[in-house]
Amino acid sequence: MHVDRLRYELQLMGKRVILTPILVMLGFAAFAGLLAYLHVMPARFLSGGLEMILPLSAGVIVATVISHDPAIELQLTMPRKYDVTGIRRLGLIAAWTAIIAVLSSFIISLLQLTFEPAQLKSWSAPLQLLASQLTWLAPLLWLVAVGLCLAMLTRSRSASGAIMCGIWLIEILFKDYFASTSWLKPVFLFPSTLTPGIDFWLTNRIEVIVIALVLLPPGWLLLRNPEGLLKGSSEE
Amino acid sequence: MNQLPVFFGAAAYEFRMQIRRRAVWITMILLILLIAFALSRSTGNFNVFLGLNNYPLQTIIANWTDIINAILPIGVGVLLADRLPRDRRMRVDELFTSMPGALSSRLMGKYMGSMLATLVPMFAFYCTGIGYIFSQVQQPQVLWLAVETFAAIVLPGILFISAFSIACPAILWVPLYQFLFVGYWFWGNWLGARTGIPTLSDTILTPAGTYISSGFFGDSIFPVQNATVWQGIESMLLMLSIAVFVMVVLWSYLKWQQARQ
Repeated sequence: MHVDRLRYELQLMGKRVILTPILVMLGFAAFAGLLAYLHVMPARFLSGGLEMILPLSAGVIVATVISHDPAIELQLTMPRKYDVTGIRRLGLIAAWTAIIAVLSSFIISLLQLTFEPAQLKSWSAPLQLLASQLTWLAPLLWLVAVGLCLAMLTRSRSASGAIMCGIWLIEILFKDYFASTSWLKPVFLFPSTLTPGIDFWLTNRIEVIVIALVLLPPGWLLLRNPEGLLKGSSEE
Repeated sequence: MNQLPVFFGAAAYEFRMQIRRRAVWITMILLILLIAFALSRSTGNFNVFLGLNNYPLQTIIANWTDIINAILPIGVGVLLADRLPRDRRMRVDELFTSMPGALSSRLMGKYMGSMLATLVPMFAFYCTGIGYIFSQVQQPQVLWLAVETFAAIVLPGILFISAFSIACPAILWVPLYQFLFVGYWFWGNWLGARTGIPTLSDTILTPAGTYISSGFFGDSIFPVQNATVWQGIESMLLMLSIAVFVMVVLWSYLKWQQARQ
């Protein structure tokens, strides 16, 4: 029954949700091939794809899917609450993106193109591989949770997408400020690619994940507001 | 049928629809707050207000325009991306087809109206900074320079990205376009050539106005610092012609789609 529901949700969301993370990583792989041809080491570029682009795509997709359902009026009359459906969709998008990220990460590791943060360099190889998954996991969870909250607060997929894109760019442009300011360190999303030499990489990853987990319950509570969902669908 | 009233009618309606969207104001205000925060923390060339008395007026105004044009066009591009798919979603595209107004006029009206409306919060923030500079330096040429830099640095890039943001969602899923656009914005404007990654940021095709700012006003916060006036003109013309080309391609594509129905 649960498997059927998951399959049905996937069909409802469409191939676009399934194909987007695959296409993103295929695009990065093709560009990395070009870099290798140009004798530029593609390790950092690939790390950027995993850490910066794939989680952003998941965040924007979550904000889009969760704030808009063409049959929202019908959904809200059903005994199964929309918040359960919404959280299930969010989980599916995050899980699918995570699967693509793990696969990409293993392929990158097999090709010996991993871009390791300095803090992991002294660790054993299996531990390195395991810990390096935090590179994409932390920003993925953070952007998915923020995407959910923003979509529910702004009641607009465009607004939530644009705000996430703005945060993304500010994080890159002011990376040194984020890395050197103690109160901003827990929200520094992309240290593995932008400042790999930092000595608080692991702490940062855990803090980013904790913030994401803290943001999920308020997002879920906002999903339980049918009035907000209906207004959002009419305002777009 | 005279298409001019159709164009103005569509532009006025799109303008009103876009400017009344809560999403436009929420997004632009939050992006402005992010810039204000970044400005308040920056001691480098991102903070124009620190050196008001140390630099020529032209440099200060160009610098402020660069700052505005560094991040806010992301909001403009993302907020315009759902305008064309909206017609399809609300099922009004077929109704429009049955009307006497030509597709080209409606399309241009949508492009101009929604772009100008999204520019309003950006322009308001720009004027706030100009007002502050004017209050500090007390020179009337600030106002003329402000109009000049906004028209030269901001408008060509905005026309360029707006054309893509209206056109691309005709074939791309909106969220896919949105994050590809922000990725492009960083790669095509900010990524320095020293990374070894092939990039457009050191070419004249930089909608953030790198070559225009550096070529016309002698200052730029973007990777390219030294450009000639001719490179500035080339950059401007290239972006304007690509914007026109993209809109023509979109019009042809939609015409082709209509013919297939």
